[in-house]
Amino acid sequence: MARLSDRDEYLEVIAREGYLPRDADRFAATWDSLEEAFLERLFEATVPFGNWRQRFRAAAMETARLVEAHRREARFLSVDALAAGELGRMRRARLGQRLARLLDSARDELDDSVVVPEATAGWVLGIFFDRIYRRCAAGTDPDLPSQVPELLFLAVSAYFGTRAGLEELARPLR
Amino acid sequence: MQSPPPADNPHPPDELAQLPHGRHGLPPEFVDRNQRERLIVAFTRLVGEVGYSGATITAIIEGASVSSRTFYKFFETVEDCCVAAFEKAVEDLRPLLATAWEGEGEWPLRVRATIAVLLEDFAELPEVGRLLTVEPFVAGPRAATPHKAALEEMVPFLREGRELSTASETLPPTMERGLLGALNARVGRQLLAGEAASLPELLPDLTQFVLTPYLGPASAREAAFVQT
Repeated sequence: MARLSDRDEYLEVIAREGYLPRDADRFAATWDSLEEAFLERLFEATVPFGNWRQRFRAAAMETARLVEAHRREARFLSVDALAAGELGRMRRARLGQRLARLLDSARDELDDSVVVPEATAGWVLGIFFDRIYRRCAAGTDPDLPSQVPELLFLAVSAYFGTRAGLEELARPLR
Repeated sequence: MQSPPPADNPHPPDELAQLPHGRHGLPPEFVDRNQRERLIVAFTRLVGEVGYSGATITAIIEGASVSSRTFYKFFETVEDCCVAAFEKAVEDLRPLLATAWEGEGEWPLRVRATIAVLLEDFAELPEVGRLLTVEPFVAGPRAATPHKAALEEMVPFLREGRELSTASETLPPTMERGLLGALNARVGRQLLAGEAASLPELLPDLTQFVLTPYLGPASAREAAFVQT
């Protein structure tokens, strides 16, 4: 995960000046590099685990840690990129689709009788995006790792029901 | 040619109409309100077309047919205008949501009816939907504050659902904020993708998501797909 710790000068530029169309190439290059680094970190964090809930828990915790440890990069992906018009929208949509595919693998572990809406992954991503945005934009919300149990509760409930979600609340943070 | 003063004119201009040039004799407070409203409407339209980032003062004043001096009379920055537009949109939406809520008796149906009205309204006025769900995130912390307050206003209504939950004691205290934030994000994404017209199709799924933590998946699904 070398790339997340490499300081990208453009992160400072966009934070200071906002997105400018003349910087489209720099924006795209920075986004692509951070997206790959983020997904790589998620992969590393989740690969030791066998079932979806364990993997999801590990991915959520890793995301929360990354947001706290790499605030500038997290802010770029969640806040600054919103101002980047169509280019930003397309990048966000691509990342969203990649994460949604990972999330939706929960369906492999569902009982056949359970009907989970197609849009569930998008819903779960929305839960995370909202909290990450608020943490990065204003910095006033509680630190993200402390919010993870609640986020897990909401996400796991959406796929596996309230009882399963509540188990996440009772589980100690690692 | 000058317009006749209001005393001679039984039909003063519409609140949002461009005012006649020259000495029109309209009360100054009417003129102020008209110009401010036009700026807000122009900003909201622009947001629908190009988003907050494209809503420059030049584009706003062009859309409102006023001078930059008039813009600065009411707002210091585009962000100020954004906050005013947001607050106006919430003001307009509030009675619609209240009527939908009060129109149903049972809590799950109230939630469903309220989400339905929200989706229909945003399908019809995507620029307002975008202003309320997406642009506060783009415009920055000042604009995000009224957005957070607007979501907070809805929390007690959702919280009533805890009375129906067998696990109400163990539900996380800020769960309602999480559900509303996710609802906002889901709707915002659809609007950004230019798919406002199909927003009402999200109703059963979104209702199910919101109800599930309170009722469990089976009852939530039943209430979400109820025929009304």
